Amino acid sequence: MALLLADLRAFANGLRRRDGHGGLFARLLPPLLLGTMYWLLGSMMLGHPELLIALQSRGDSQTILMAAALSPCPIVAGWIAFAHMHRQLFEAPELGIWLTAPHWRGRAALQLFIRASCTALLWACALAAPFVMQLLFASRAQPFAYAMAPLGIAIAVVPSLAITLGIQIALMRCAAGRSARVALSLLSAMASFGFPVFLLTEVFTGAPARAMALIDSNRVDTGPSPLVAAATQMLASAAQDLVDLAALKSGLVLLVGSCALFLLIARLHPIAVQNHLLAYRPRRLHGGRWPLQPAAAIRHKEFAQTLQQPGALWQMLIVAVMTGLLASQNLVVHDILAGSILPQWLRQCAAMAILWSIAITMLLYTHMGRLSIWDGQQWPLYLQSPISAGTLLRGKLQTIALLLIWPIVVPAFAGFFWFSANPTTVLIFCGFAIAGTMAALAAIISIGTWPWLIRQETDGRITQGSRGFVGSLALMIVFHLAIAPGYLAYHVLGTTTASQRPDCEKLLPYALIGALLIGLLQFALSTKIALGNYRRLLAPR
Amino acid sequence: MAAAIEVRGLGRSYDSRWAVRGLELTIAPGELYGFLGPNGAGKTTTIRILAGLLRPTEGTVRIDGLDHATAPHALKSILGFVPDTPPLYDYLTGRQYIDLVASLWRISRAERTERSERLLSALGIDDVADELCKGYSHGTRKKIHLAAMLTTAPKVLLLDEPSTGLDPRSVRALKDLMLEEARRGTTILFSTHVLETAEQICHRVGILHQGQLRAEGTVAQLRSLHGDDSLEAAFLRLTATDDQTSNGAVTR
Repeated sequence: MALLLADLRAFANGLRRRDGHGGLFARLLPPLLLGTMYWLLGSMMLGHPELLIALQSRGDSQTILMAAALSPCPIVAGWIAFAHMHRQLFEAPELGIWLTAPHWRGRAALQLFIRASCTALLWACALAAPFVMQLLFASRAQPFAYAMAPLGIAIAVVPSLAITLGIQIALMRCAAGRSARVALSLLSAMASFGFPVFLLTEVFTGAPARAMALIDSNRVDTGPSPLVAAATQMLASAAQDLVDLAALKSGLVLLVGSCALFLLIARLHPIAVQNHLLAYRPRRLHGGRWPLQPAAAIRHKEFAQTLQQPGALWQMLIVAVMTGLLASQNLVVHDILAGSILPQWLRQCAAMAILWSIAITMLLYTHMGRLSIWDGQQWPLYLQSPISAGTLLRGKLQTIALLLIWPIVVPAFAGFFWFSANPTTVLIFCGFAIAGTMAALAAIISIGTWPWLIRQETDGRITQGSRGFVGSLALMIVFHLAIAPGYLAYHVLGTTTASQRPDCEKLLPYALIGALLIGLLQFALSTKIALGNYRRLLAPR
Repeated sequence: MAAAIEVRGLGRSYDSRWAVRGLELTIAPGELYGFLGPNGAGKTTTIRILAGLLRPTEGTVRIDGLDHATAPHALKSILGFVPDTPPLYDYLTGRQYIDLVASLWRISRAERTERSERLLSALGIDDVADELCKGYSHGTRKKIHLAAMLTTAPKVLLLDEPSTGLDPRSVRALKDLMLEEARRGTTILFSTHVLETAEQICHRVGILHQGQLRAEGTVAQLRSLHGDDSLEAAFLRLTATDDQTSNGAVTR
């Protein structure tokens, strides 16, 4: 109880301070924004005529819709458990006092579980509650149905969270070692990477496409996932003014049972923490010759960090696997490749460009961090060193530009192997992708160095501040605006009649040069902005 | 000869609270100057201003005749700063970190190799220099950063609590290194809570309290101020109350 009170007091103390307000704002803003977006998405979906017809014709459609509404819950649980709690479980700064205090041996793990549950419930409410509420409203449900919604969301989130946290503790207790650490770091990388991708696909798929996907799932009658089945049944029945006692009972059993299981595993936590520390083995590395020029040294440093940090390489592998999966399963690009209006080479190029835009979107945030926030703890070194803003930017840009070749290479290979694109088409794609990469670089450097997003501490360090989420949203918007001319040109070509359509092959050189020039212009403008931003960040506070 | 560090009327406030105010300080080239003071006295703030991390609210700072406002790059080239929390990269090895720092200061390959090997050996960390910084203890991190900074051969070296977290042998090595650097002509200003260290190696010490320099001079001068038999007694007397002042040539 004392630990719980301490957390609550710390939270309340934070609310009384100005910087605490910023922290609270930073925590609440992302779920609030996403909640609003999900509300809009949900209302548009429910207004979709085909979905309404499907709703009226099928008796179980309420269950399918409720399952769809609750589907983000286990994803949120996995994200919190692996991406956020992975380090907290074994390296939280408070563990020193929690584990040495005369408490029950699983108390520290329980405290972390409570914290994780609060965060997960906040996010799950943002992603699931808007659609659940709209479904209940559309069904003209009774007040008790609304009252059951929080319980339903808790049943959909907490068991997944308890199990995933429990697995991590048990793994470190029973099979600690280098492989376990690597496995957990891989899961952590996948979770921190997968969740934004999930959000992007959810938010940017659009209401009509999501509605059609739901109708399709209704047709094949897949049923809700076991992770949300009980909560789904409970809330779907409540929407129809029924109390499904069996579902309620199984949901409560799942909730209480998973928490009880976690409490059992929590007893293993103190030794798991020790094992985690002992599992670290220093590796001896020989870095070879280090460049003499500062910009080259920055580039060398960035690559050394990428190669010596397991998570960074995993990320590149995940991008390749996901892009390969999309290409091999013909998932996002099916409509583009199946069209017949435009020449095949152009459709193949467009399909590869779509894969490129997905792959690069997955990496944008990472590279934005590389510009400043990732070096936040080391920023005093740059502040005190005689390096100029231009040199620092050049070193960072060289690294990012080289690493952004990967999202070009992967779709090019995918296009060659799965879309049967010939080498010339692949080369044309590469030309457009280079132009797009310049646009992406422009977005990354203009937003990634934006001082408004960064808080400068008195010791020279820089931290994310409370506007990180706004930054990532701004990055996505700026990037999509920067490559919008490409989307627009393809759309115009695809919608004009055959008689009015220009000869695509004749147009190609002009389009390619135009794209490269636009990309170059965006890049030049952003470089100027980024230089000014770096000068500000390298000045004394 | 021009002063290596010249501080005039220096003040820095956070919101409405002054961390340092009206600080006057002159340190000669090659001098080893110890900054003493209780927690929150303003030592770290002063050192951060000298290092160019913080902008002074009032007053001026000149280091080797240069100031951060007009010649930041020239000044940074001759300045080394070792903070209490060293800014190491977890996923670089110690040697890679030293190479990075040397590159930022444009130190030639021959010089960096010679200096870094000598320093790593002197600080007793040559056997761990090829391991990732992630696994280092606080003391090792500090020693790696100190070695990196000294590889750049700064004319002025600023150290914030350099001996915190170091074992006795490392503290001895650190003191030897500081004396050797001072003999080579490096001006060293460091803050410490270990009065014994200040007594042993400092040419002069300054006692800072509530953002103001209460007294400065050699250890012997400070002891003789009120006839104290140790630096500790002088320190306790000078930092005992808010309004305490002392008369004499070396007090402020």
